[in-house]
Amino acid sequence: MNNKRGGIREGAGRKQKYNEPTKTVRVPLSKVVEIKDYLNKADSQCFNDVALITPVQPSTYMQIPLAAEKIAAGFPSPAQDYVDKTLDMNEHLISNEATTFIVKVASLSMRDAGIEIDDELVVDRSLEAKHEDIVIALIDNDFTVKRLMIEGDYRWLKAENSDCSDIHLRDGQEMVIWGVVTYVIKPFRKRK
Amino acid sequence: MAYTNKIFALVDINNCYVSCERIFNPGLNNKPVIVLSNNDGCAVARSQEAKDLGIKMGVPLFQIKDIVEQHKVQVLSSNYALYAEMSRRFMKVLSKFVTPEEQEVYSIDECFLDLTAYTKKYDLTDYAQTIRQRIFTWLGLPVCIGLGRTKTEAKMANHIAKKNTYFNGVCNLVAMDFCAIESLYETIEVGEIWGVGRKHTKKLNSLNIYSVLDFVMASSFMIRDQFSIVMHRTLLELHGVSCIELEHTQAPRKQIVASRSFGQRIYHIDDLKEAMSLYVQDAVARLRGENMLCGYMIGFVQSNPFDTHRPYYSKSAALTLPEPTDNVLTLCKIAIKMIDDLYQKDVGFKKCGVILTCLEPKSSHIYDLFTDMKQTTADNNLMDSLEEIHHKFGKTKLAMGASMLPNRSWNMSRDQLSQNYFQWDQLLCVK
Repeated sequence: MNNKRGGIREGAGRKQKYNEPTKTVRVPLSKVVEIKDYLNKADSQCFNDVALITPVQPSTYMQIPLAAEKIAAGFPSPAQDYVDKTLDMNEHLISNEATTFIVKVASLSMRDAGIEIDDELVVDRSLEAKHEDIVIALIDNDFTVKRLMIEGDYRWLKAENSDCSDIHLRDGQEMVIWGVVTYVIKPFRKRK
Repeated sequence: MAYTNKIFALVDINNCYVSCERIFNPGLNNKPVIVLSNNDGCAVARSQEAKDLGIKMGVPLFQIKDIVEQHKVQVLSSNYALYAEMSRRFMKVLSKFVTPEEQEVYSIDECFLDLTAYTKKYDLTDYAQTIRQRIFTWLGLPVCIGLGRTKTEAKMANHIAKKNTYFNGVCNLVAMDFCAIESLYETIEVGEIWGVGRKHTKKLNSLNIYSVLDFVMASSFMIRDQFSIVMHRTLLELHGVSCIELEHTQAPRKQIVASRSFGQRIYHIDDLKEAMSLYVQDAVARLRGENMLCGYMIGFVQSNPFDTHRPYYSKSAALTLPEPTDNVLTLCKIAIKMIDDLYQKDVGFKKCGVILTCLEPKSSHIYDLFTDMKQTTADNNLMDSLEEIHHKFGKTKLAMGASMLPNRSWNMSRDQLSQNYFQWDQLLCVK
């Protein structure tokens, strides 16, 4: 026989403040405020340094949450109302898809700006190059990646490596800005 | 037909294939460049410098060998993957200027825009210049834009903008003085009109109509009398009466052709079968991409028609399928059987191919009473799995016979192929 009277009521009593068992201790009166303060703070940053890890969906396709669930007889998933967009790297790195190109780096002339050989650069051609932008430029029909310097009417290309020389145009030389570098994709693990 | 004042623009990429190559290989700038057709046969695209050297459209490479050597003409194989991607981006950038209903993708390098709604707000010549500038800075593609009251007129305006550099890439026939239009039309051959083909040009010439002006001045009764209603419509269009609307939905496909010529002559029946099975797989991929079933298949083989030493050999076979299908195994089997009939010893085959026709949508097909539905479902599952594998591991991992193995004797030759800059392993390198 099932007795439905008495016993523990689910959810009754004082709400739990910490996610672990607690213990009563004696503390000096003068320290009560300080200790309570400490406990409250500790509560809010229980994960300290890496508090912000968000799941990344490494997909090459734009993610669009779809309500394409199967119709099933049974308890509906309580999570369905919370479906939200996951992180999409395309959306994050590319603002104008039609004018964005990926190029590969083949020199160390921008090393001090964090661009090394075999890094991949996200280049957007729809952006207007501004002073100190890193750009892909054409000098005498050769591609180069450098920092664009605009000083009044004078434009030159700065190398970010003391072993490499800057590019100042000689007479008759022409510089065409091919695109503006927006991101560097740099692998931190060796690829096979 | 209600007469409405409309304004159309035709945006067209100059020397499309060459321009696409130049974006990634600026060393080609200011040099004569040609792009060759499949198997590096004929010149299908020429830079302005190459046109100036007198290299004609469609001329076989061997006929211009001397010019190529003498003027150091840069010769490239066609890189269709690259051109298709640049074309997609071109259309996308254009789409930001108009609504989807106002844009018609006409070909890989041509796009019609209906700019009627923008007349009040902008000077359309300036607006077209803005479009032109943006395509050039954003994508590096040089374009010409023609503006007219009809699609035919816009096409004509585009032709004028291309041939006369003083227009600076934009020709607006709507805003142009009538006398100026007249003198331009006088210098253009009637065959340049959109929709007037070679056969019609001959007939028009026989009626003393040589220039576009002659055609525009011709009597519309005479044109309707002598030609079809289509030609009459073309005339009306050049008079500013818009008869041809923008098209958005493509007419459902009537047939799928997959055929390519070989890199060299083929004598062995097994090679022919291999090539045939590849083309069937290509055709079926397109068939399934459009969710269609095929009811009738034609297979054909040809020797080289330009070979003067041997008689030309060409034969085809056809079969009505007992049940419309999109199963690559069934179609491949039939195509390969066809080769047994089509093959002849000692013929140097240059080309073979397959035509799928009697197409119908898969979703609306009604299977007959005697169809083995169990088998059909199994076939479908197999095809789905095959496509899944192709999607995941690339097309060449799993295929029929030896057709996808590299370096087959019948493979197309593409010696001067540039990279596909839109693949991770073939990115553009910068120093």
